[in-house]
Amino acid sequence: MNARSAAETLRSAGLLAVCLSGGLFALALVILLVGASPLSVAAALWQGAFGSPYNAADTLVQTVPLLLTGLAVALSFRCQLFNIGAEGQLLVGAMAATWAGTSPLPAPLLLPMALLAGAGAGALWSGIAGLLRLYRGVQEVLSSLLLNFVAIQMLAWMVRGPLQEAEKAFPQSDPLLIPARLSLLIPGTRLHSGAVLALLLAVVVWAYLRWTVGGFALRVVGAGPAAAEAAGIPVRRTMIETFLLSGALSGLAGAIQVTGVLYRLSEGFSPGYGYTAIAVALIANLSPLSVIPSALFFGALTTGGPAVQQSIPGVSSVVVQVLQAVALFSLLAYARVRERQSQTAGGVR
Amino acid sequence: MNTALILAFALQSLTYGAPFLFAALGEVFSERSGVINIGLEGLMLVGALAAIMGSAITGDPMIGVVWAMLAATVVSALFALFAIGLKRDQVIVGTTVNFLALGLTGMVYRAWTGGGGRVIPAKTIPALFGNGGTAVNALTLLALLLVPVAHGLLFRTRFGVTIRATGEVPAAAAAAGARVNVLRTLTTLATGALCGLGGASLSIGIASTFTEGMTSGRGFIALAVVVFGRWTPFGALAASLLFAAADVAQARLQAAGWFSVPYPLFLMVPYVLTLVALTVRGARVQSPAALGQSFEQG
Amino acid sequence: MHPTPSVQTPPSVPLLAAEQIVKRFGAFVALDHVDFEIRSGEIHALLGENGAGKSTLMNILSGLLRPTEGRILLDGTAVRFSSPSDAERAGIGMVHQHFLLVPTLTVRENLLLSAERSFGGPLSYPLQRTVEQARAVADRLGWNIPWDSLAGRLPVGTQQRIEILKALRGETRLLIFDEPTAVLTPTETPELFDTIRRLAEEGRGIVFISHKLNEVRDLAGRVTVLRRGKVVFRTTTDATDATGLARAMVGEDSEAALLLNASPPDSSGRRTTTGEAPRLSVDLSLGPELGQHRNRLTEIRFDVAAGEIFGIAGVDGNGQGELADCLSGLQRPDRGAVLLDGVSLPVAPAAFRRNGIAIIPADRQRRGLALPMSITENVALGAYDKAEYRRGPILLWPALTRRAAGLIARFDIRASGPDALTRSLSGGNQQKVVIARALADTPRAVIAVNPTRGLDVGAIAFVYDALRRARDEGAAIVLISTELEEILTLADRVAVLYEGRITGIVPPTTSRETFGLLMGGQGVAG
Repeated sequence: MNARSAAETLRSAGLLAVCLSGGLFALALVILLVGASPLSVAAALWQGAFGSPYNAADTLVQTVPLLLTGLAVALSFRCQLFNIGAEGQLLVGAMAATWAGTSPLPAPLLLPMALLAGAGAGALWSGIAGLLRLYRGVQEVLSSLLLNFVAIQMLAWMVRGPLQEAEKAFPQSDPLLIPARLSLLIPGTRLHSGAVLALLLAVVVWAYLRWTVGGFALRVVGAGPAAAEAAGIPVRRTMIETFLLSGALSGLAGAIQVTGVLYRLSEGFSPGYGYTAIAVALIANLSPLSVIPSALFFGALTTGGPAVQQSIPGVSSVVVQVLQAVALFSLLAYARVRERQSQTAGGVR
Repeated sequence: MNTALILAFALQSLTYGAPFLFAALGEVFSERSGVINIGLEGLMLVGALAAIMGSAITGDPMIGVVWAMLAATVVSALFALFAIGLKRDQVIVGTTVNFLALGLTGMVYRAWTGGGGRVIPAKTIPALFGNGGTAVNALTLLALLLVPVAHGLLFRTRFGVTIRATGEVPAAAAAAGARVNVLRTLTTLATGALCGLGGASLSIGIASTFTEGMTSGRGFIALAVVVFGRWTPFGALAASLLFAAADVAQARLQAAGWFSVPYPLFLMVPYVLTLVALTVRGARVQSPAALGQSFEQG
Repeated sequence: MHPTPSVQTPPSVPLLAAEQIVKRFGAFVALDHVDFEIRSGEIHALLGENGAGKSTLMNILSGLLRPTEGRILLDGTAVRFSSPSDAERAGIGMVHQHFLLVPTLTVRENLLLSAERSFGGPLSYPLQRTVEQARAVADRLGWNIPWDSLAGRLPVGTQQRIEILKALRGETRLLIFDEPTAVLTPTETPELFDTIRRLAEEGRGIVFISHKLNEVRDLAGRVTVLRRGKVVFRTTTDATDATGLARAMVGEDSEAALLLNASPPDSSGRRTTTGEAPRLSVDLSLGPELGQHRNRLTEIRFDVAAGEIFGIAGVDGNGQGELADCLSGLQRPDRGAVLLDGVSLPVAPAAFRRNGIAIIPADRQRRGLALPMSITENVALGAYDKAEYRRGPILLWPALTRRAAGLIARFDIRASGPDALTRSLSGGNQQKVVIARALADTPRAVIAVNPTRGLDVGAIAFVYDALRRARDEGAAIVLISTELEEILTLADRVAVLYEGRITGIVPPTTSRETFGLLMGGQGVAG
């Protein structure tokens, strides 16, 4: 990196900081209006997220599904496909993983099959939106969202029907057997080996986009579909592949939640990972490696949120969602300012 | 089936259709002017909470309706600022508005009720006629009356012609003297106000309370209603009633225990129906040509 | 015979005068102290190359843009337009080059869109009155307008008439035509000229913007020539000839002028002689679009030899896009095929490219380039599937970057480096990237579609040079262009496309009249 681009990076980082603090200032005002101190909210958030090794491990546990779904969203947005169905894909992934994990397969096959089934189901769910887009011209924004709602109801039905525990007492599945579970990384915490897998996948997705023909095709289709077609890149196939890959990542996130954290399927286990993923990916500027810190940030918010609610009356965990929105709005403002700057600076002529 | 049952079914469908209809009417104008607003869901949610609070605090449900319109309009102004003023991607801004609305309504509601435990009584909009499930209130009537008004405005005024031109060839509208981004801001704010009404008709019309995320996707279905109704007010009316009828039917069948089908499958019906509707209409529909594109006026 | 002029100003005071107009866009000066005036009843031509500032000046006169400096006088009084409606109220109308019609609205609704404010506010619906007003004008001009059709369904000539009706109100005293003949057939053009002359006889001032010399000489009295934002020449059509106008427009000093106008049709290219196998052999037809009746392409048959430039002329919209798609493998013809050295290729852009057919697409910002990507990535689009640049599924970016750097030097692309985003380049340099990608590996055939559209003279000269060099290196070149001058300058043989058919294949030395007939659908033997 030469001096000029380093200065450029520094300046844009400063600008981002200005935009973010503007957003945080607005949020502080809202918190003040509700009658609490913004500083104590921040302190409680930090305490909840990183206050103890157990809390920090929990933050990482929350980061894993955000990382995977964030990668999923980043992939499809890079291809200009507004697939916002990560939530539904995650849910069907969890269902499929539970089904495979509780099936009468040989023990050593249980875990790999559960993970594969989750990824496959997520890919299929996302593929529906892809097929509708390519063959019927239905906007994926709408179809993938609606599929989320279908998946929520499907989960409700599954835990009361086909996947319900043998005793039929509660709306939940039977627990997964030990061989079907992901191993714990640090005893005494909930941190599981899925975290390593997720990190690895972030690097794989980065390398895919940066170095492979398929990733190049994906980026060209996103940057200029007509140019891609004229250059002989199979646009439709690339789109479908992107839908499938993106869905597989989200589905895997669901499978990892089941095999690594929950060990059984129940309703409402996802606090909207798939929606937060949109914020995760956008704040990471759709770059796979940046998704890692971005997911960690939102993971910390998710873990810290309940702590805020416990320690400060009147401020609820949903402050996290507001924070997401504020961060996104700040980022949008930042992108606008950047655009303005590059316009006035003018290109090379 | 006896006529009373059919009538009850029809009246209830009207009431359940009102939230869709309000939001969809607004979105028809938005999209006709070239703005796709994914944030309908959040705007309705804001309206629903503001309506409950207005009604509970002042004791007058009509004031609740006004609060709903105001609150949702303010939030839609935020959408306008980012999507039209700063020319950010409309889909992303709309999604962000949904985040904001979900979080903000949750935060305010919990703060107001002291953690969400307390149920604060709020008066609902009085029924004009009928009672119980078949009661039809003033908001529902308003939604129905707005349909011909919207149709007239869109197809029988210069304003309507300009709006339609703005969504198809904004440069043509601009050359004819229209201020494209002002018009788009106007339709966005109107969509906000209408979504506020939709939210009110949900929280103090159909229900009498607020729950977090109570719109449960109605805003997204309203987007589908617009496509299904081919971007016309009467089309939106028909589509709204269709989706509402499906909603009512699933509730009634479930209550009557007619089938031994688990209720989640019933709850799935409106969403699946919307997907099917979009699939059937699919490639044959032509959305406004400039939908989602920002415009720079010289 | 004609109604007496409704408004007359004494000849001493011009109807409209622009004085010392300056317009800057950022650091770029689009207009540099320009003076311009129009009198009632005259047709005043504004001549200039693409980017000379003609449209900017007219957009200022019609209220779409505001000048940075300078003033506008109407009947000798200073006025200030803050929007197109201000200019309209002052009696200034504009017929845009790219029609500003809404295709999904009916003709009536389109007229209503731009109807006078005095007809009623936003909530009124003065459709009747608007149409009556327009009908009166249409009747006077002898036009038959289908008022209830959707504007998008009408032929181009009729659409232009609706644009004229939109611009013409009772009070309109000045009418600006921005390159009005660019989209017309040779038969529609004289009809338009009749209309323009009548409008001038009625006492209106007409500004006629063009870069076509013969049209300007045909129609106008006075001529003002703009070059790079400055007035470089003022004359009357009686006092000068086409050469003088051309020299003023292009600039005497510039080498480009020689390249553009002085060079005769090149004779160094080879013709296919009987018995010699053509490099590119085309014989195809393309059926009608869904819901339409007319074939898109009918019996398109021609051969191009290695080392030949084969021009395809014609008015825009006569099948050029479809033919280009068939020649680049994007569109499968319903009958026939494209043969390269006698071999039929699988219909896929990648297959065409791999076999050595290079494409310079018409729309460089959409089809030519992925604008948000770098030069390296954009030129990689032409080579990413070559064995030397990949190892299995892995792309060898260092090698691709080196290749891009080489092409940047070879094709003189002005950029900060291979990593520069193509979005940040000027139009000319963007086109150089497209051309660099197409010509990088000495293609066997080149399909170039309107390769110089929107470029300045220097960039045009570069493109011509690059195409000629590719030809000399043995490529068979198909040049599809709506600029007849361009085709006559470059091509060894010329085919004319009209409504999806070839109306004739002739040498470039053929008379302009013959070309006019061919482009208007009149077949000529031979």
